[in-house]
Amino acid sequence: MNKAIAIITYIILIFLLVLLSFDFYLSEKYYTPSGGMFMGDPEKYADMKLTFVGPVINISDSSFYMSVNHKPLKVYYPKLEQPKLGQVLVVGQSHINGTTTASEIHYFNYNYLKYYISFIAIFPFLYIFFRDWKIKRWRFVNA
Amino acid sequence: MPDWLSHILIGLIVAELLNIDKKSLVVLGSLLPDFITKIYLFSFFFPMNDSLLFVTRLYHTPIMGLIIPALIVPLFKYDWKKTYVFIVLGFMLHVLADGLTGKRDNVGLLLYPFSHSYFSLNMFWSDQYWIILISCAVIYVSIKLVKSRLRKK
Repeated sequence: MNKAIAIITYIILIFLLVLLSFDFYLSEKYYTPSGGMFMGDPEKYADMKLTFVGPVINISDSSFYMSVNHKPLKVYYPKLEQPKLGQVLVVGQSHINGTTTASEIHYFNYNYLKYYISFIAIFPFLYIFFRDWKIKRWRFVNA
Repeated sequence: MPDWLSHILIGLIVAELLNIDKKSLVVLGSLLPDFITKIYLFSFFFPMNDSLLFVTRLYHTPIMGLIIPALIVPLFKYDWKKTYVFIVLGFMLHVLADGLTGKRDNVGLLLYPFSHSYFSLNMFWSDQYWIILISCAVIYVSIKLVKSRLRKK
């Protein structure tokens, strides 16, 4: 391919990537608000069905506290069990006082193991990759 | 959504089935969407900007599967068309695997920028990654066994 065309194409692609990123950022209103958005402005996002994911901080008979993006969220839900090596997913009705009443709970038991497996997967990936390629200057060439 | 080992196996399975010589490019593509999206893992340790976390969803869309591989193709001194196609294939496999299996994972924006709707088969919860992992491992080993037997004949 002609080098000039390749460079122009590359610049267009970067422009497209930036443009789409801005468009997506500005389209946030089309999507269900995140737990963090609700906790930042409970009045704005009250009386909505929202989803929260995070570790459980403490449990009482009628409610529990969970951490959503490092902020504590009070969830009304009786007799929650502590998830094992994982988090809890809450679907609930948001309230103006920054709390929520759960209508659905899912335990992500042993979910943290997934991240350990993913970390370990880096090694087979590197093996597969560098079996085919070696670095020469700034590019990958046939090994 | 599946773990990285499952994504690698899905890439390898398809690369084996299609007899792709540079399997590493498919595998690279199959992990590429997560290189950016996994930024959310930092939120396990300290607070993250919600809008930043939101924008990372964009990098799990097919439109990005066409753009991002094109940006990394020049890093490879190899047939650029093949390099692009193999990385795109891996990327799309990742997007489909995440989007079609994940329940409430905020993935599956398969038609962005034309639609803001999520598409998912809602087959597995995030904590059921082991089902996909074991299935992929069994399929991959089976394909390797069948191929080695066919080679012996």
